[in-house]
Amino acid sequence: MKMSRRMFLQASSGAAALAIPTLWSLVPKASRAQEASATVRYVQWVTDHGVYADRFWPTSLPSDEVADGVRARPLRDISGRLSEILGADFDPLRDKINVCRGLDLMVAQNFHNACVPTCATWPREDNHIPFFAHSVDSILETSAKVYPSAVRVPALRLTPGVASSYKWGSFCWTTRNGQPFKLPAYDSTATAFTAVFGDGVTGDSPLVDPTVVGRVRLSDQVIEDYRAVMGHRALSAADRQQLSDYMDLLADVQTRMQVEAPECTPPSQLTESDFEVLHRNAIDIAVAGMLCGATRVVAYHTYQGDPSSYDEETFHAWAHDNAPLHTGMQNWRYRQLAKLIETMDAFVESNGKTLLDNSLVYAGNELSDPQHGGTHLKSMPIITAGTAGGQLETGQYIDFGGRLMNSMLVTALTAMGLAPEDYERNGVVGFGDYEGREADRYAAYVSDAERRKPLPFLFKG
Amino acid sequence: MRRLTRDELLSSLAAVIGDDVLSAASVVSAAGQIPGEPPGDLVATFQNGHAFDHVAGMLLTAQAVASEVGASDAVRERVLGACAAQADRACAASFLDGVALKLMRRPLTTERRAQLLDAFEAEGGGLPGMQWLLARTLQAPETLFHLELPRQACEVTAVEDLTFPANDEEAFFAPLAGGQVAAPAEVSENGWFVWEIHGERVRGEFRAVRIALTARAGDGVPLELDVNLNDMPLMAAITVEPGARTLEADVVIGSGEAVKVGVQFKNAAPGRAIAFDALTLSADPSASTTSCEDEPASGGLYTVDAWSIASRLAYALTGQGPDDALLEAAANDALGSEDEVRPHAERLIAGPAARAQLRATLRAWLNLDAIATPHQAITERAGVEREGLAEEAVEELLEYATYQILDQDQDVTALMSDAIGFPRSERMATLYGSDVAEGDEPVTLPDHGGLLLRIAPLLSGQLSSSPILRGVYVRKRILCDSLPSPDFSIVNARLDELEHQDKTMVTTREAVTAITSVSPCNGCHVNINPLGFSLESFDPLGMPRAEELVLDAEGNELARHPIDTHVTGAKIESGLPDALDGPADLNAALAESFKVRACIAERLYTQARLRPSSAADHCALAALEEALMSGGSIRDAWLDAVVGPELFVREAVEEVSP
Repeated sequence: MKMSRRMFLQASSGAAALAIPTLWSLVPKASRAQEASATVRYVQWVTDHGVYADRFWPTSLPSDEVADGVRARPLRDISGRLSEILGADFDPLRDKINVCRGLDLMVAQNFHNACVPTCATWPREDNHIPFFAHSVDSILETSAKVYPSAVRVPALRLTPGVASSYKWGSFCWTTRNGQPFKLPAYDSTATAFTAVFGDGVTGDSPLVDPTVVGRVRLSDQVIEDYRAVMGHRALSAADRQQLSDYMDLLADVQTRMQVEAPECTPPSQLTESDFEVLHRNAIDIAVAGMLCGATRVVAYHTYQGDPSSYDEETFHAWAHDNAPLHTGMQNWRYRQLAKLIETMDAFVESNGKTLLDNSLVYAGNELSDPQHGGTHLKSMPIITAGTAGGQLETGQYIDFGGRLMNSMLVTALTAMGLAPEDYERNGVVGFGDYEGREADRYAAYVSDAERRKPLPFLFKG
Repeated sequence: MRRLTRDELLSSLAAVIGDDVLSAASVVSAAGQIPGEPPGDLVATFQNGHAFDHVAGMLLTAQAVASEVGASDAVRERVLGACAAQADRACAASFLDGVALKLMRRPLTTERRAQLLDAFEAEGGGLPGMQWLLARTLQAPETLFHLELPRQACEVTAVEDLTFPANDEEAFFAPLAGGQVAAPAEVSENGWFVWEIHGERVRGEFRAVRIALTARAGDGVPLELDVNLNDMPLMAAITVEPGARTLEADVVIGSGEAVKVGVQFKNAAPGRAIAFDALTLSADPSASTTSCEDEPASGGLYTVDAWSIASRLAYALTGQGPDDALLEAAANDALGSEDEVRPHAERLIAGPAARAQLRATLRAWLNLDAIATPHQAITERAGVEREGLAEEAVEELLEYATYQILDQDQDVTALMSDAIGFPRSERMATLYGSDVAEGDEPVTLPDHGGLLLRIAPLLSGQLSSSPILRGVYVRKRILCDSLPSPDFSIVNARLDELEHQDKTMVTTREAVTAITSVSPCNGCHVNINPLGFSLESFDPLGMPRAEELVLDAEGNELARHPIDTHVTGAKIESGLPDALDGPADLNAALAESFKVRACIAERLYTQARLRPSSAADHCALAALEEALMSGGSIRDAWLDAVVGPELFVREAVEEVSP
């Protein structure tokens, strides 16, 4: 079915069309976008410093037993606001999201981290570095099942306004030469925009575009330069590996630059007068990138505290001793999540479902307890949105009763079409860490079979 | 092998290519795609590897730089040479010997050089070819990595004549009638006698060819010959009388060049014949050949070459590549000893790049990126603007420290205790209770001094001072002691108790003592609290105070408490006072502390190498510590941290087939 020239925006409730001026210009030009529209996308949204439980979780607890040890309550049945942090912005989205509690990570040290929600692992030292250094986005970006052919941006990583190399920057990890390697993210929307949409000059296919052809030829020669230097006898195996890694990456650059730019008009960007606008722009780029087929994987991080403030040391202090200010900060952050979800739900794709319906949004937090004390990493604050093309339940407040949050990541990987042999790493069955205090408490969930199961009730198959 | 950090890379490019190019919008945009390093202590956090974004960003940056260079006549001439607009191979070679050498910090091998020059020509030469060469150089492994190679032992031998006998395997006879046979002993028909020598057999520089032969002519008629070199006439229409003769011609033949010498017999007849003896290439007496090999390792170490030394020195002291003087010294192999290297180090440390590098070292050591932003209520009460206060305080600390270390060449005692500073604004002067500093000279600080008693490290982000954070700062940053991270479940439980304490009734010191005095907290806090308590005479803004004010969130006063800065059990180190009466005592103790000197030595040493120290560094560090303990200047310690025996060696690697 040919997609119409103009996409109609529909509110999830079927009410009047939403006006989102910044994305009205998003008009796919060819059926290429149509091919991407039915595929499942994954959005990983992360913030830090946990949430005060009494200010995050809805007070009406899940009560209906929907699976063994799992209870749920429809979100629409909760009167008033969901919570102080999940404010009014989430009300129109209740049918499209899940609020998930009762998912723990086994842990033995109460350190801060840059990996728990994305890798289901905890740092062994107080340095934010994961023990199991593989995040869901890094698994997906290199999967042939997710990308049978090359795309421009296999994983669009964004830390708007924050240096991704900072300890609370990117939560995206891979392992390289046996060592944890933090993957960078775009802190500038301008850079992210160019990465997704190119330099805005439409014209020849990249395979014949003289600029691209020249770049490929130049990088071929640079690769030869590296090969020549690798031959030196005085270089160690580790040195040669570094040079080899660079060559591989440059070959990857060549591959991606020869992929067609998305055939749609890029979203217009607002002047970034504050962090609110910054995230508006970043969200538009991420959504447009998915709609246009430039990527199926987005890793999005939100760290500011309000439209005009970003000070991690102050936020950290609030987390430990100022619940009201900390809550205000988290409320602002989670409102950005709501905007992301809302924007994804505003576009109907060729299968009649919205982008959100065709996606899984997994929103996690560095911590549960902001003070990383006695309830450290217990009942992680998790929000999911979208059905991943009908595979996932939505509209529920779910209590998983103390299962392992590793299973949430397994759920995400499974929903994206991966099997255990596709995502398992480091000889670990399942995904992430399965070590820590109170191991007996989780004994029911650590067998090989259990580790590989997606979460019951949430995952419909 | 370490990659260049983003800052090192861009600083190096700016120094060679020019700030004007690096600040062009297209270059800034492209370079913005190269991920930066994490803020803070890079020695601990540096990630030595590239991500996709690094490589993609570098490709785009290289092309953007090349484009910008070509767009301006002045820049083009400065970077690519005056010949660039109509560049030929010689112009490209000149670029490789000049700007490219500065970027790559070592000369190319013969093979790489030839490849690059061939690529230049394949791209059409001229300016486009030069821009191509620049873009390729900017991404070269020598440019992006700290490539360190062994010093080489070279042997120079004089070139001797090369002689190829007539029956050489590469000699043959081609009769005029057709065909080709192996060189006969005697030629009696018209045709070409040829030596076709492969270039690999031609080693050296040669200035003439000689052909020895014996001509026979029973009829006495001179033989008519032509001689060609590489299919071009060398000696034409010559006549040779019967007898042993030598034909000779001046030529220039370079090492590795193939040589084809042909002699055509033109008037063969019955009774006439030529017996060829040998072809000789006459050596150029001034020429010689050089063969080099890596020097062998000894004791698991090999000596690095002069190019590696130049690069190490430059990056350690300036964060950018070697300058012209260093490169010239490397080319002349004049960096083989500390005596040869030290003058260059002295020169570099006097420049602005070294100042920036020292500031980076101080930032990392003292974790200055984590200095707290004061509470709004506190700044309002003090009547100072909160915005940018932490950054300004950090800048003041850095200005003080670089002044003491580089301008005054001070020792550790002076750095840790001098009551001077550089408050550049009314705000900072208010906090210091001093005059505003103008010009290059500091002002006297009535109540502050040294590296610790400055606004930056004393700032608190809370309504009250934080003796625990201040104590941890002294322990970890100033003394380089290690402190394990606490069990936060216990911390939070204890903090809950603090929350229930009535702060109007207890001082901060009393509250902190109460919550940290139980096991297991006291195990670490016995080493933290005394240091923090001794600083309690400074308020959350680092201003001196005689009383502790208890404030609510709006800054309203709730209570006042007396200040007690007397402590026992400071445990700085053996030999120093355990009892302190306040910040002056603490400052004085730190000024005399061996640990502080060891800490400074460690930071200077590790920052120069951008890696943590190891057991192999023990001797070098001990020497630095000793020098600082003996009253040596910190500036000299920095130089010694860089210019030591380790500068010249590297660990040998296992034999690996390339």
